[in-house]
Amino acid sequence: MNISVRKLSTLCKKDIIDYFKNPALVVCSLLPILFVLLYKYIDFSIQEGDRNTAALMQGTLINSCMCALMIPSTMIAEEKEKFTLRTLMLSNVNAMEFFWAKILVAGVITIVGNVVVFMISAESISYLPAYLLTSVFGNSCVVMLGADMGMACRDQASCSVLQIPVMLLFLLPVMLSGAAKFMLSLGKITPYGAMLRLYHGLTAGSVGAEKMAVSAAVILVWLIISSILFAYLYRVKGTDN
Amino acid sequence: MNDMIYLEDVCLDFGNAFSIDHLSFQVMAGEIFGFLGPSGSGKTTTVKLLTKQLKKKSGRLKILGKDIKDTVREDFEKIGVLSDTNGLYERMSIEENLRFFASIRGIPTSEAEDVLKKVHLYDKRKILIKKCSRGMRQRALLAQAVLHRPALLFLDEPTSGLDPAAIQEVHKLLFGLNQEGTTIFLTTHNMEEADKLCGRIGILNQGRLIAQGDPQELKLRYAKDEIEVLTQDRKRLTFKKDKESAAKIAGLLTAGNCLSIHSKEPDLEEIFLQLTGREF
Repeated sequence: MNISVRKLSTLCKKDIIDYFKNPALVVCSLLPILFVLLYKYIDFSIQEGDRNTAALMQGTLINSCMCALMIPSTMIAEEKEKFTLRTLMLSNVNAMEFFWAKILVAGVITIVGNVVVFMISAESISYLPAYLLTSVFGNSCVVMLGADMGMACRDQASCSVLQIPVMLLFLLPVMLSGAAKFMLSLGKITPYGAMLRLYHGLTAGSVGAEKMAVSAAVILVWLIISSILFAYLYRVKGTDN
Repeated sequence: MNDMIYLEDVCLDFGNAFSIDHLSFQVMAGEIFGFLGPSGSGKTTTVKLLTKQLKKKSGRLKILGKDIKDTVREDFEKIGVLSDTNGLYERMSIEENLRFFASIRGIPTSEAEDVLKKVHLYDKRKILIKKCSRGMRQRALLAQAVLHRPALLFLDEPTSGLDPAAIQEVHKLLFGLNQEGTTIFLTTHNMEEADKLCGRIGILNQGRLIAQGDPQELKLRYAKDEIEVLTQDRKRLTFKKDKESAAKIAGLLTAGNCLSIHSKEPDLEEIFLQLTGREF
């Protein structure tokens, strides 16, 4: 299936405009930033350096949920619900152009959100390249999973039923990893947990090379799973209702 | 290229029942072909087959003179489709939507202005789709379908839900497009519309084509052998076409008790009922 760059860029432009016109999606992107601001300026009686790192980690997790998972799934489900996907397909846009536009736009919004979170958290700027690398890598599979969810759902309402449990399934084990050993083990095999471990390994050296390789493998496995799921859903569900 | 659409013995089934049952017909370049039938008869399925949204199970299907298997993406640039389930972006204005689709089609965005004028939406182009009436939406969808001046236009129930004035406008636009050379494949269950617009029609029932031809020709083919006389006291009298009736009608005429006489031709709806016994 060939991809027309002209069509892809037109779709991306439209998706970006549509994102800014959709208050629900804009709020999704602002929530992690507001959370980090709140975290930074509320006194939790922890040292500033630790607080910065904690704010960055929590902000990254929330941003990955709100943007990487919610944006592509909501956007795709909306296109199906409002039958604009049908109009696109009948205007000679192929499924790959449609999905790549969604994945690229959601990916860029997520990364921009992550950079803003990084800046507000005031973590050392020398960590930014490592942070960007891990967040692009880690979120790639989450964006794909978001697209899978959008594809699997008929409309926005059914999509939201799926979004929250998946989000909690990925988020809670990482956020509660300090509370129980089981949660810690579970967190390691979620894309978010693997992403954060990879970042710690690259910056603080607190994770060994072997464990970093395991985390990278976890993300790769998620990427493969989401791609297989994508191919399956594409075949079974098609591109429209 | 004479055949814009050609189907020969095309079948498609979804599980146990045939959805399209040995369908054969052709549409020539420059025609307005009406595809009639009740809900669920297979009209939309046929459009989906012709626009490659569904794959036939058997038979031969050609579009724009090419076997459907050999068609490439570029061929579909010559086709416009207005489906009953198309949608436009609600947070964008009519004009933004058309400019977006012009860009997708790779045509100058200025074309959008011309089409907006044609569908009488130019003055309302800044209105967001979510704030448009059903008639405006339908015209905007039509504008989107004809934006690239397609050689072949599929219209699936284009006037459903529109008020009479809006229907009139759509009809004018379709005539205009046809005069410019666009072949139109129109599915509808509005018999009046088909009678007015189409040069030829096909009647579909349960996936089978049960009649096709010129609307006038069909009316004559299925005409009852009857004559209707309207009398001075506004009574409608029906007579058989025979000698006895001729004498009775002559009597009415000589008595000056006759306002009008005409042969009783069925309309398309009656023909359909006669053929299938089904209501639309």
